[in-house]
Amino acid sequence: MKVIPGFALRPLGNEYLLIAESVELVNFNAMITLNESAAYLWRNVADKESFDEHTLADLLLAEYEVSPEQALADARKTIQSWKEAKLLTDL
Amino acid sequence: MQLPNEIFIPEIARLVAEGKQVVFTPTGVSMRPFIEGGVDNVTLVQPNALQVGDIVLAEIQPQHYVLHRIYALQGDNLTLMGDGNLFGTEHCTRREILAKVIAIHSPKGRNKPITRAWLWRHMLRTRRLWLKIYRHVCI
Repeated sequence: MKVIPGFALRPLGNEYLLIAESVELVNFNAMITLNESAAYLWRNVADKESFDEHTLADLLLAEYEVSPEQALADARKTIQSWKEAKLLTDL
Repeated sequence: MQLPNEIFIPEIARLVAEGKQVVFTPTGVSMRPFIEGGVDNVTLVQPNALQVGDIVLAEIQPQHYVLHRIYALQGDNLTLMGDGNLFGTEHCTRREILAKVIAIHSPKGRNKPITRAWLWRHMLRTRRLWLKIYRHVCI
């Protein structure tokens, strides 16, 4: 899977806004908030042609002190929430 | 129209100041019948060439924002009022105007006409009746 293009990650306080954004237009109706770790994951896969739950788990292991099992569980949870927010495509 | 998401408004203002067009859904009923809060989307741009009748996003007090129409404009001083309000105006200066509405989109994909609402602004006395009819017929 990969992320749908056209979203910009913008810091806002302790969190991040992921907003549908083109050169001229920013749509606040297509927006979700991400916490620090989700924003870190997003930044690292936004340009990837393809990634899966193991990609995210590896990224979490590289950055945070978590067990491989916890990293994989968090990666699955993240992918699920991104899918629900329609941020991912299987193409 | 009171905007509850105070934290988003400075971000919206910043993006507008960068020259972007920003789309969002305001809340509240104070801009009825022209904007239905929580339903219609508005497109905001930089507040250039302001005129009486324009709908603007303004910071009327620190971190207190309204999306209301300009009812009077004298030099740098503006008087704003919600189209759906029966009384009560806000006063601010041009510096406190963050953005101007250039389009109102209904959820069915249609654009509502952008009007300066001359007639509506001048029928304050009968507004209560018209808003009542609007609520019964259109909501």
